[in-house]
Amino acid sequence: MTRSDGANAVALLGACLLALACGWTRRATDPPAAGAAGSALSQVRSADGAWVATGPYQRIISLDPAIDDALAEMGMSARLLAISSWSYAHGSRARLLQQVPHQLALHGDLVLVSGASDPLRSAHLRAAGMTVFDCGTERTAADAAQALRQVATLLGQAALGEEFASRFLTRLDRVRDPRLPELGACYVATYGGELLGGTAGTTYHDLLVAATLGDAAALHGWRDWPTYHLEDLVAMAPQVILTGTGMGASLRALPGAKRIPALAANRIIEVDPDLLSQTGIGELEAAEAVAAARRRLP
Amino acid sequence: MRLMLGISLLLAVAAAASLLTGPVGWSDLDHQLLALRLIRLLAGILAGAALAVAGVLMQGLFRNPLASPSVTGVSAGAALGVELALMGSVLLPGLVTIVPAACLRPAAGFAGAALALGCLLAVARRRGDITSVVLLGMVLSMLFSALGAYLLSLANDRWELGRILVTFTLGGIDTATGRSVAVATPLVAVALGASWCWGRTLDVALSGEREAASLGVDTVAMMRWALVWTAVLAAAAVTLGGGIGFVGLIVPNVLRAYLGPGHRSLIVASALGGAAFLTAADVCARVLHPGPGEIPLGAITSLVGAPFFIWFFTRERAAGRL
Amino acid sequence: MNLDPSEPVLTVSALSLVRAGREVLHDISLNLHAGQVQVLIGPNGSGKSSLVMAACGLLPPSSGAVMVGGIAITRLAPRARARLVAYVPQRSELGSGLRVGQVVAMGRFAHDGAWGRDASHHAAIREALLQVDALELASRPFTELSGGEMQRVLIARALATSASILILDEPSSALDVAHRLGILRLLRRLAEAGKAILVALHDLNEATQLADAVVLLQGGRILAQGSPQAVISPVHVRSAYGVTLVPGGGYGYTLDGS
Repeated sequence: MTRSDGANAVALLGACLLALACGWTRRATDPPAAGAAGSALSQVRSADGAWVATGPYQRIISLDPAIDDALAEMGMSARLLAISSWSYAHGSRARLLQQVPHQLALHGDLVLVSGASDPLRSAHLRAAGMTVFDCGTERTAADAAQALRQVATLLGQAALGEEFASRFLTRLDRVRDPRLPELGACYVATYGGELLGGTAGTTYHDLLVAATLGDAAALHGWRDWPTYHLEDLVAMAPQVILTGTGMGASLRALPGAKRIPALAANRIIEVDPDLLSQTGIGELEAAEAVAAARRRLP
Repeated sequence: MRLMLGISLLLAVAAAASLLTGPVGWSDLDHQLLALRLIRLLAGILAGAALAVAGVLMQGLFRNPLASPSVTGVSAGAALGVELALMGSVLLPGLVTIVPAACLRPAAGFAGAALALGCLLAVARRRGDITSVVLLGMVLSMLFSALGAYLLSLANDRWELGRILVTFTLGGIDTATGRSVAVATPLVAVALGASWCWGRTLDVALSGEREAASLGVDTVAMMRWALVWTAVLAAAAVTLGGGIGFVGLIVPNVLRAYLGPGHRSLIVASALGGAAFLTAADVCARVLHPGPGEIPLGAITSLVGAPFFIWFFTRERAAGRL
Repeated sequence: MNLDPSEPVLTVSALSLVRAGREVLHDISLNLHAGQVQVLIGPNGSGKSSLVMAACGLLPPSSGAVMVGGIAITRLAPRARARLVAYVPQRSELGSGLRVGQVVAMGRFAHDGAWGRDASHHAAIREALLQVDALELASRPFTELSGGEMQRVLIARALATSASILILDEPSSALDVAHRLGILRLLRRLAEAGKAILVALHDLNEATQLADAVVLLQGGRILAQGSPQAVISPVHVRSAYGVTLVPGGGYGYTLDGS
C-alpha cells in the first residue's frame, strides 16, 4: 500500500465514522421505545411502532379521511382543526395538502395519519416536534373498528370507542341477508384497459360478504388488490360482478366477455366508485348500497 | 477569480430565494418552519455540490466530457441500494430499531455504488483500460435500472411502498430530514476535500494512461480512489435527493469552458456551481408548479439541463473546442 | 556520488516480453551510458515500441529485467521512476484546452510535494522550454501547434522531469524534413550535455548520423548491435528489411548553417 492509499483510506474511514456518529445519536424526537413508564392505558401503540400518550387533544389534524367520519360519529368533530383534502367529511374546517409546512403552521397538538401515507412524512413531522399517531392501514371492517377503538382510547374515550366499534360491526353484520342464495362474485374495476380487483384483506371483500355474495377471487387464492387478465376472470367464473358506475359497459365489451358467466348473463352490480372505496365507518353506507343493488338483480 | 465570485453570488441569491419560498408567508414563519427550510436548502447544496464534483472526477478519469456518475453505473447502483433500504424499512420495521434509517440509506447507497465499482474494477484490466470501464458502466447502469424497476413492480401490491419508491425515483430534496443532512455532511465534505487533493494527478492523467504513468502517476491507485470518492459523493447525493440527473454533466462542462481543464479550480467551482444550480432548480420546482404542490426536482433538472446542454455542446463543437 | 563514466545508467538484461499471448521480445540485452545516443532500428513489428515501453518501465517483462541505478525499474514507485527515466511518445493523446506551459508543467509532477510545489518548479519549466527553443510558445494552446513544435514541447516536458535518461519512440517519423533534423540536432545537444538517450528511429540515414550505438531488431530479437557502421551494413539490412543498401546512394540532408 502506498502513502496515498493510506491517506485516502484514513480519510474514507474518518468520513464514515463521522457520518455514523451523526446518524446514530438518539434524539428526543425519536418515537419513544415501548415499555416507557406509565400504565398501559396512558399510552397507545400506533401502527408504526411508536407509543403515543393519551390525552385531551383538542387541536387534531387528521390526514386519514376514514377517521374524520369516526370522530364525527362519536361527537368529537369539534376537536378537528383540519382535515385532509382527500376527506369526504363536510364542514367548514380547513382542508390541507400533503405538505408538511402547511401542517405545522396550524400548530395542532396531534396529527393522525393512515398507514397508507408516506412514512417519511411522519418522521418529518416527528422531527419537527409534532405528536403523530398512525391509525394503520384500514383494509377491512375489522381494521376500521380497531382504529376507531385506538383513536378513542388515545383521546381518553376508550369506553365510547368500544361502544361505537361494536355497534359498527354489528350493523355491518346485519346488512347481510342469509335468506338469499350465496352466488360466487368478484369485484373488478377497469381503468385504462387494466382490470383491477379487490379481494380478501380489503373492504371489497367485506362488501361482497355483506351482499350475501361469495368472493370467488379469494377462493382462487388471490389477495389484496390484484391486477387481472381476462383469463383469470374466466377461471374464476363469477356469477355476479361488482364494479363502479359506468364500467359495466366496458366490461361487457371485453373480447371473450361471454366466457364469464356474470357478463354473459348481464348480472353486473354498478355502484358509485367513491362509495365503493370508502374505508372506515363509511363502509356501512357502501355495504347497504351494494346489498340493495344485489336484491334488485334478476 | 471573478468567476468564483460570480458563482458564489449566484449561490447566495438562490439560497435566499430558497429560504423565502414556501406555502407559508414569511411573516407567519416560526423557528420550526424556518429550520425545515434551512434543512431543505442544505440538502440541495450538498447534493448539488456532490453531483457536480462527481462529474468532474469521472470526466477527468475517463478523459471524456460526457462521463458522469450515471455513465459508470455508480448512480444507478446507489439508487438501487437506497431503494432496497427504503423497502427494508417498510417491510421489516424491526430493522429500523437496530440501525437508524438515516444511516442505513447512505450505507446501502454506498454499498450499491461500491458494488458497481467492484464490477468495474474487477473486469477492467489491471492497467486500467478506460474503454472497457465505460462500456461495462453502461451495461451496469441498465442492469441496476432494470432491477430498480422490478422492485417497483413488486411494490405494486403495497401501495405505500410504491408511493415512496416513485417519489424517490422522481427525485426531490423535500424529504430530507435534519438527520439525513447530518449524516451526509461529513461524507460530502471529506469526499470533496479528497477529490481536490487528487486534482493535480487528474491534470497529468489528461495525457493518457501511458504518458501519465511515465510522468509518475500511479494510474491504478488513481482509478481506485477516484472511483471510491465518486461512489461516496453519488451515494450521498442519491440518498438526499433520489433520482436527479444532469447536474454532473452540465455544471463541470460549462465551467470548464471558462476555467480551462485544471482540476483543482474546476472542483471548487463545480462544487459551488452545482450547489447553486440545484438550489435554483429546487426554487423553480416550487414556484413554477401551477397551484400548490411541486414539480419533481429530477424533472426540472432534465427539462432545464437537456436543452441547455445541447445548445452549449453545439456551440463548443462549432468553435472546435470539443 | 562516485560515478564511473563507463558504468551504464540503464541496463536491459535478457529481457523477454509477451503481449496478448505473443512473444514480442526475446532475450534482449543492451547497456545505455550517460552522454550516449543509442538508436533502435528495425522493420515494422520488430518490437521497437515494445522495447521502448519496457525500458521505461511501462510494460513489465515476462523474464529478464531493466535495471536503473542497480534497481529493477518495475520495483520503483511511479514517482521515483519518473525522476530517473523520461518517456517521449510518438504522438500525444492530449485533448484541447491545455496551454504549452501547462503541458510542460506536468513534467514536474514527480517532484511535487503533497501540499506545495517544489521551489524549482518554474525554473525547471523555463529551462526545459529554453533547451528545446520553445520559450515563445509557452502560452499557445498545445493543439494549435505544428507537428514539429508539438514534438519539441513533449521533449521539453520530458526534460522538465530532470530525469537523466530520455527514451523516445520515433519522435520524428510524422514530421517534415526540417523538423526532423531539428529534433535530431536537439537530441545530439542533449547527449552532449550529459543525458543518456535511447531512441527508436525509422530512418536509417538518421540513425547513421545521430547514433553512437545502434541496435537492429528483427522479429523481437537482436539481429546486430554495435557501432552504426558495423550494424547498418548491406548484409544486415538485406536480412532485416529485404532491401539492398547502396552506400552513398541518395541525398543526405543537413540544415543550413550546421
